[in-house]
Amino acid sequence: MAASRRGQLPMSLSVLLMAPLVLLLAWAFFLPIGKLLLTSVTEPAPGLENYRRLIAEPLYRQVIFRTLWIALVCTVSALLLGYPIAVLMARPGRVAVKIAVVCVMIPLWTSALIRSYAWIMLLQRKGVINSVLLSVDPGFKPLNMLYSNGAVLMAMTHVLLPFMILPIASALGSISPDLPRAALNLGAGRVRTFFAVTLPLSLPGVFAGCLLVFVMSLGFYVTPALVGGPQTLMIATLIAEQATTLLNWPFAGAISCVLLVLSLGLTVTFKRLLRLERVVAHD
Amino acid sequence: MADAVRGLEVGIHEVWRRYGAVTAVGGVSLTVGAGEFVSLLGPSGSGKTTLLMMLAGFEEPDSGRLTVGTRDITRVAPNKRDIAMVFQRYALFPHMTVAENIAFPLRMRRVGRAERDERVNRAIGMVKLDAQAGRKPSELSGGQQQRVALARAIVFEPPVILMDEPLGALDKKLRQHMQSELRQLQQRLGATVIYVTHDQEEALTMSDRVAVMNGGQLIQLGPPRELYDRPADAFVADFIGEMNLLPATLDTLRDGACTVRHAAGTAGATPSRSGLGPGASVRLAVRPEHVELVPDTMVHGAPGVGLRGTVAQSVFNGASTAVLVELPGGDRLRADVGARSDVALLRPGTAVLARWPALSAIAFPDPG
Repeated sequence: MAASRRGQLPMSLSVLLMAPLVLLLAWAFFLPIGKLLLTSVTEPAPGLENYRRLIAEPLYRQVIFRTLWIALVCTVSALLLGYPIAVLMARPGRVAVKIAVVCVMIPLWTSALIRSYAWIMLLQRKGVINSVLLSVDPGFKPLNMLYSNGAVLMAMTHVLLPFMILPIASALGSISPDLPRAALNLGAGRVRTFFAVTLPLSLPGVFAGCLLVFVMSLGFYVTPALVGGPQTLMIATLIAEQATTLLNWPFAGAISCVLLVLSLGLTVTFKRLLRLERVVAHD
Repeated sequence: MADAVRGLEVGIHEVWRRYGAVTAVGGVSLTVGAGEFVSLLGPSGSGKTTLLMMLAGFEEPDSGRLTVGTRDITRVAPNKRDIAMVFQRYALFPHMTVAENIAFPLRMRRVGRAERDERVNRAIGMVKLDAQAGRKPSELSGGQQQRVALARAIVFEPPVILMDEPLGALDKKLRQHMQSELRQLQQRLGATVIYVTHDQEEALTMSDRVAVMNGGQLIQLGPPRELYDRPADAFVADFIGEMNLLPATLDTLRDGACTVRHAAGTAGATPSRSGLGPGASVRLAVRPEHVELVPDTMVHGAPGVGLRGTVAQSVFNGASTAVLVELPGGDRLRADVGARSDVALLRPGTAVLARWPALSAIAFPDPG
C-alpha cells in the first residue's frame, strides 16, 4: 500500500476492474477477428492465394483505390465545409451559435441509416429535388442522381461532418480570445490574424478531425451500400458481399486485413505527423 | 530607440458606452499628456477596462470621440491604431518563440528582415531575455512572460501603450520589482502609458496622475499626492489608502474650518466643499496616521477636543502599531501610532482620547 500514490488504485485492483472489459473484447472482438484473418491465409489452401487474387484482379484493386479516393475527397470536403461551422460554434453567446450546435448535434444523434434514407428520398428519380424541378418546369427530364459517386460523396460527407466539426470547434474554443485580439492590436488584419494565429492553433483539432473522418469513411458501410450503386462499390460493401452473399469467408478476411492495415497505418502516420507538428509549432 | 519614440497626447471626449440597461462608461472626458503615465483606478465594474478596450478598438463608444495626437481614432480599426496593448494574461502566441512573438508587430508592418532582427534583439535586451529568445512562452516563468509581452508591445515604437492590469498575475515581490522596471522603461521610451489597475498602491507608486473611476464615471483626476491628501469625495477617500469614515453632524463653521459632533465627542475638520451648513449630516474622514491617542484622564474638563473611546485591539506592524478604538455608538476608529508611543496606552480596555489637527480631517456631505 505504501508504494501506491494518493488517488491511485493499487495495481491488483486496477487489473481486477479492467478484467471484464478485457475479457469481453478478447472473446467477442479480437478472437473472431483473429480467426477471420487466420482463415485468409489457411483456406482454401495454406498460403497467400487470397491476397494474390485481391491484387491480381483489377476489380478489387479498383475498389481499394476508389475507397481511398472517396475517403480523401470526403475528408477534404468535410474540412472545407466544417471549418467555418466550427469557427461559428466556438464563438460564445450568439443565437446563431446555438442553432449551429443543434444543427451539428442532431444529425449525430440520428442513425446513419435514417440519414442515408433521407438522402435517397431527396435524390431518387421521383424524389424531392426532381419533383420541385418538375413543378417549376413541366417539360423537365428527371435527373439520375442516386447510385452515383456524387451521391455517395455528398451523403458520406454529410453523415461524417460532425466528426470533423466537433474536434475543430473544441480546438478553436480552447484558444484564448485575447490571442486574436493581441494580433489585431499588434497590426494584423482579420485575414492575417486568422492565418498567423487562429489557424495554426487549431491544427491539432484539424488533424484529429481529418483522421477521424478519413478512417471512418474507409470502412463506411451503410451509406455507400444504400446511396451508391455497383459503380461505387467500396471496401466495406465488398467484404459484406463476400461474407454474407458468396460465403467466401477467407477472401472476406483477406480484404478485412487490407482495410485494417490501411486504417492502422494511416492512424500511426497521422500521429507521427501530429507529433512532428507539435515539435515545430507548440512544443 | 529612446529618442525615436515620442509619446502622443490621448484625448477621451464625452465617451459613453452602454450594455443594455447598464451604463459601463457614462460621459467620461480625460486628456492624457504626451509621455504621461496615467492610471485608471477603480473597483471592478467601474468602467476602466471598457474605456481601455475602446481605446484599443475592441469596443466602440456609443457616442463621444477618442483622439491620439491630432488624429480621431473613434472609428479606426484596431490594427490601424498604432496603440500597443499589454494584456492581463499576456496573450503571447503559444506556437511562436519569444523572438517570433516580439517580431510579430514588425512582420505585420513589413519591416525588412535585417532591421527586424536588429530591433527584436534590442527589445529582447531591454527586457533582459537574451538567453530565452529561442524558447516557447510555455517554458518561461510568469515574470519572463510578462517581459516578452512588454517587449512585443514596445518593439514597434508605439506612441501610446495601454496596459490592462499587467502585473495582476505576479506574486507581490515580483510585482513590486516589475513596477519600478516598467516605470523606468516608460520614462526611457517617452511613450504615453494608460494603465488600468484596481490596486491603489500600484496606481499611487507608478503614475504621474491617477484617474479614479466608479460606476462608469470619472470621480477624480490628479497626482497621487493630491488624491491622498485632498480626495474629492468619500468614495475616493475610502478607496485610496487607509481612511476612517465616521458618520457625524456638522456643528460650527468658521473661516473654512468646522467642528463636527459625534456620539463620542467633537472634533475639528475641513469641509470638503462650501454649502455645508451647521446641522448637516457629514462623513468625517481622517487617516489613521493623523490620529493621536492620549490618556483620557489628562484632558478632563477640556471639552471639544477629540473623540473618547476604549482600545479594542492593538496590532504591531513593525514601524507602527495599528490601534482599534471602540467608540460609543459602535463605530471603530483606527489609529496608526509610532513605535515609540506609550505601550501602556495600547493595552485593550484603556480609555483614550483620539484627536487630530483640524486641517488633516475632512467632512464630506453624507451621500445618503
